[in-house]
Amino acid sequence: MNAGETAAGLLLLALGAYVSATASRFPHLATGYPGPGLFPQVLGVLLAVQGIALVAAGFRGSDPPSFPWTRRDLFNGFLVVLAVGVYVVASPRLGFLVTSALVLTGLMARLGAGLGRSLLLGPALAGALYLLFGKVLRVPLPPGLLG
Amino acid sequence: MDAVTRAVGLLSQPDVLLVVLLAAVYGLFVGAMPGLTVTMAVALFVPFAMFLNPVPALAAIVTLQAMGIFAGDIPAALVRMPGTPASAAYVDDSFALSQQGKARLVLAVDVLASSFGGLLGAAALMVGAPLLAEWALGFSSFEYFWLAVLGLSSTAFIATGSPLKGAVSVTLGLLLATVGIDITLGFPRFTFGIPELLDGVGFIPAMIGLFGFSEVLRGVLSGRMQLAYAPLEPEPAFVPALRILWRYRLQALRGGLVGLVTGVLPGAGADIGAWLAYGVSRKFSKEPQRYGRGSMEAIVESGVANNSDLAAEWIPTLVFGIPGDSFTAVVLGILMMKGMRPGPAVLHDYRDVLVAIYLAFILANVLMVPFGFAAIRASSHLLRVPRNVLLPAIAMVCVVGSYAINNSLFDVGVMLVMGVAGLLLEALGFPVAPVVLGMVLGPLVEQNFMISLIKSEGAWVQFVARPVSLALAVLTALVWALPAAGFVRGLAARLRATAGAA
Repeated sequence: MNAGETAAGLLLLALGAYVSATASRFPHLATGYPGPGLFPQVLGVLLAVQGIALVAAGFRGSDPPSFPWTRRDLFNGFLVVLAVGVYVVASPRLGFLVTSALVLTGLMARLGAGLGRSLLLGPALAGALYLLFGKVLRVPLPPGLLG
Repeated sequence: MDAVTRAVGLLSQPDVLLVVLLAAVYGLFVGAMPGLTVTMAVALFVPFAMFLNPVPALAAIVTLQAMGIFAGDIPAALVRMPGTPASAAYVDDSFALSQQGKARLVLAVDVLASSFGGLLGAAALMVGAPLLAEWALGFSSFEYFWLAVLGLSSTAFIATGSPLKGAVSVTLGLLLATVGIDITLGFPRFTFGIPELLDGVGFIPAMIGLFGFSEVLRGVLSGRMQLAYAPLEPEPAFVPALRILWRYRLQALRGGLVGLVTGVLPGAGADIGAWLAYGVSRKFSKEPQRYGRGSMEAIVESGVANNSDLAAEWIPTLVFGIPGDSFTAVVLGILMMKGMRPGPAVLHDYRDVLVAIYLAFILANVLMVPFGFAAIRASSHLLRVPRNVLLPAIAMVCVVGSYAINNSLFDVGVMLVMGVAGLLLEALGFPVAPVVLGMVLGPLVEQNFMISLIKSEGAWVQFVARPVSLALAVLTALVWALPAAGFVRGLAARLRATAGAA
């Protein structure tokens, strides 16, 4: 059994059912024509049917190849996601330059770039991005601590 | 003729030319770096496009795309990692040839084939767009509905691994498009009380996530921070490449034609053009056994196809507002941002801008030859850029780029979620491009469906009453028939197997 496909199929079935159920409660047009609920309902049902088909395919399928990612790489991937989350939370208070320099330096070092190089390139790249987006494109980047 | 003179005037402004030059370098760089794609490049370019005038913005995109699609052949040949999905069709042949010590020759053939294909495409665009626009003036909501459905079906079913998974991707994209205020009643759908979602899921942040951030994650997860590559042979390759192109000139023309046709078909993009051309090429070749092991013929034919495709894709995008793939979906977004609503009217109201775009296509494909050869020479340096510096940098660009669209951290969140989603989808074998097309075409399908429904007052036959609607509906049915036939055959085989075992 292909566990990934079966799990995905079940997820889709659940999602489709949820969407359909929610959309069926959307209001209708006065003249009786279907309103905003029609399309999501159709899509929900479609998704649920596809989910069932996928579960069936998953049961029939062979074992998937073993997990291609190493534990260390998975952790690094998680760190990248976390880093963006940290940026979203911290940048209003710490400002763009500080937060992005920290994020860049941290990620580069973690991915193996060497501490010296990371400490040099992190703030440098942050500064370059600030110039490009903040000055050339005039995007209002949060000043934070440096404001 | 005045339109051409005016367009030349528009293009030859120093700031426009500078932007085009920078876009060329940017496109070459991104295309040549393994793990970076042209779609990522254009998604990350959008924040800049917002601040440019229409002509430099669109000329830059044209250039970026042309250069990028060629440049994707470089890592395909050197490290077996195609820079764009389109290059994947012939990656085995390119890599095999470079392993045989012909890397520079292969890449030279790529440049010339790409340039030729691009010029063919530009010619088709210039002739085809006005013709199609004339014809499309008579289109009504019925035709647009079927066109959008055809586009979605093509994306889901043609040339994807599993039709079921393609269909799931399209459905997910369509569902994402329903988030926000609906057009009939102004009712907020699936917004969960979040005000930022009233306008729907941000398209550009979603794109940046799906194609930019997910690639970063994929690169980090692969763990490969330094890449080993085959060195280039010292012999100059320009003249030998020309000779090869001439030797396979019929194949080049045939590939160009295949690319044009797939480009014009809504929902079918550059990747499909190259794959289709590869298949056609192998079928008609006198040396089919070399395909997959180093066939120059294959590279010529597919290489021309995947560039002639590019310009042809702009035809349905401009005339119908129906993109051929994720790249033209972003182009569509930019056109709307600049107030240029696609449709037959846009070819009339924005004639000068469009002629400037046609000229930009020609310029980009001519420039491709010197720029491409320079990029080939620089490729060994490009591949030495350490990925542990590059990947975090791109991640940060994704963050700021998404933020810059609406000065919204929520968009950064959207980018993050879509990035992770894109990674998971691809890991499970679901194609990502149909999701994007679903997002883009969802409103079009729904709107035209509702309008058509109200117009027909419940008489469903109206949906196929008009000749063009009928033809499009039949085409759609044909596209559905292929996977349906496969499904039925599979079912029959399984039933026979269980009957035989019993």
